[in-house]
Amino acid sequence: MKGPVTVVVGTDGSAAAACAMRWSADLVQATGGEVVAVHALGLLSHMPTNGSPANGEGDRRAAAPHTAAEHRTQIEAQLHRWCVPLQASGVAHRCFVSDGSPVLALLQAATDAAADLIVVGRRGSGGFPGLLLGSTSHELTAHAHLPVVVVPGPVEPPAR
Amino acid sequence: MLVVVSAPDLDDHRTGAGHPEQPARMPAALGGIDAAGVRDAVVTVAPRPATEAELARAHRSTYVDALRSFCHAGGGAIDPDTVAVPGSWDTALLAAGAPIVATEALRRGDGDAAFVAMRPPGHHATEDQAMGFCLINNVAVAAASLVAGGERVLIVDWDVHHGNGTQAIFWNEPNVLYVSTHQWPLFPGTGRATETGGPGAPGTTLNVPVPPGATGDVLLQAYDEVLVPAVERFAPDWVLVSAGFDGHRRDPLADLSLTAGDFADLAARVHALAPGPGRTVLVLEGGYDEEALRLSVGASLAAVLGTSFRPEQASSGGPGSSAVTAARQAHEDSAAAR
Repeated sequence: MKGPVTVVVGTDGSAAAACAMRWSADLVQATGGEVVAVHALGLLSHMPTNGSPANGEGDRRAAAPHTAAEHRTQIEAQLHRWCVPLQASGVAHRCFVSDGSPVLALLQAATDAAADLIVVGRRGSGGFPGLLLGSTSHELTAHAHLPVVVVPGPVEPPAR
Repeated sequence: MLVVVSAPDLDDHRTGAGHPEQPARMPAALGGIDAAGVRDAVVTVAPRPATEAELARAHRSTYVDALRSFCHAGGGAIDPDTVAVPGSWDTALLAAGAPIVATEALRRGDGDAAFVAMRPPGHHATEDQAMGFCLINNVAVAAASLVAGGERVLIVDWDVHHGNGTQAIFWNEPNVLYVSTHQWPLFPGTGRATETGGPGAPGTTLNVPVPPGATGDVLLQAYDEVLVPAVERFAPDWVLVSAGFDGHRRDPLADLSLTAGDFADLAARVHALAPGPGRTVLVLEGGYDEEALRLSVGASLAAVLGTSFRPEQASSGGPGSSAVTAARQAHEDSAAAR
């Protein structure tokens, strides 16, 4: 890939998303361009026992907001912290919150930004391996009209 | 008489503890019948599964096959909101077939209107994607069947969330008029007033996004200024309602300020748009506070039957009037440009 690139990267505050952000930042440092980080608010995201971010931060859940509007405000405030890997890299970037499923939010963001590729982290917790349904990365590859990069998350120690 | 299509005993769609879209929603919704005191006016009809041919009018066959395989393989999380288990497939097929059963019963003359109380809900499901608790788009399957029979269908969606799946499925279908009022911004992020239909069906999608806190008078304003004029031009043969009750002020997933009395007013207003008796079908979508669901369903069904059950007064004074005016203007501008 030559010249500046625009990368849309999904974030949910998880370690896997941070890996995807660092990978995106490394690419844009080499090529120039911009990283656009997107967090999608789902139907359940403000529910105290089901909320994002996917890493299940206890402090956030303890202070779960009561309404969807309050949740949106809270997530917008947290997004700055989730985007620390981008800030540390020094690359041009934007971060914003979108409504909807992660797949649709990323596709829409890619269209709006005229992106060159979409980057997501792989957590492997969604859906049923090997079937069409169930993971953001899998759904993206089925629907996207631009390249999709799936970045492995942190290596976890094998279960004993 | 009111046709009620439901089968809570056949509900095997288990979403897990803590998920708001629970089997307990069905007895809560059906409890509205007795709460409203209209049991004697109810004709109960059993649902049947939607056929593959019926599903294919609204969904891609590859998606239907994938969903079936996913459920039979054990299911799991489709996205952070949407789950399926092995029993979800048969339950979803019944939910998709139930609105068709309702139209068949009304066509036989079994009632003046129908209420479909099934789950999972459907209006977020697109032709090839499950999302927002929805697996199959129940209203869309029924509407597509009616359209295939040469009829024109109005879909009124008063669920608090925009019905992105229904809108997308009928984006280029001139024989379906889709009208949605919904909280904005909120999941799924679609439903701007500027979304008015595809090149094959311009002006057949009408969206009225309203802000958090909007009250019943705001939605009635939307109905008077946007819905009614559009329906008079469209002249539907059927009125299907994506009847979500998560706009109630106690609902945990959204922030509108509606009451059971407001749903009575909305139901009466929509039922009056039908071309005659036996052409209105209310299909349950969202609604996650069980007591609010019971009272709101009861109030809506009583209104459709022409009786009064208003356990909560209608609400008024909330924000959103200017949003309705802006939506009306957007629709008028869109029409003028065509």
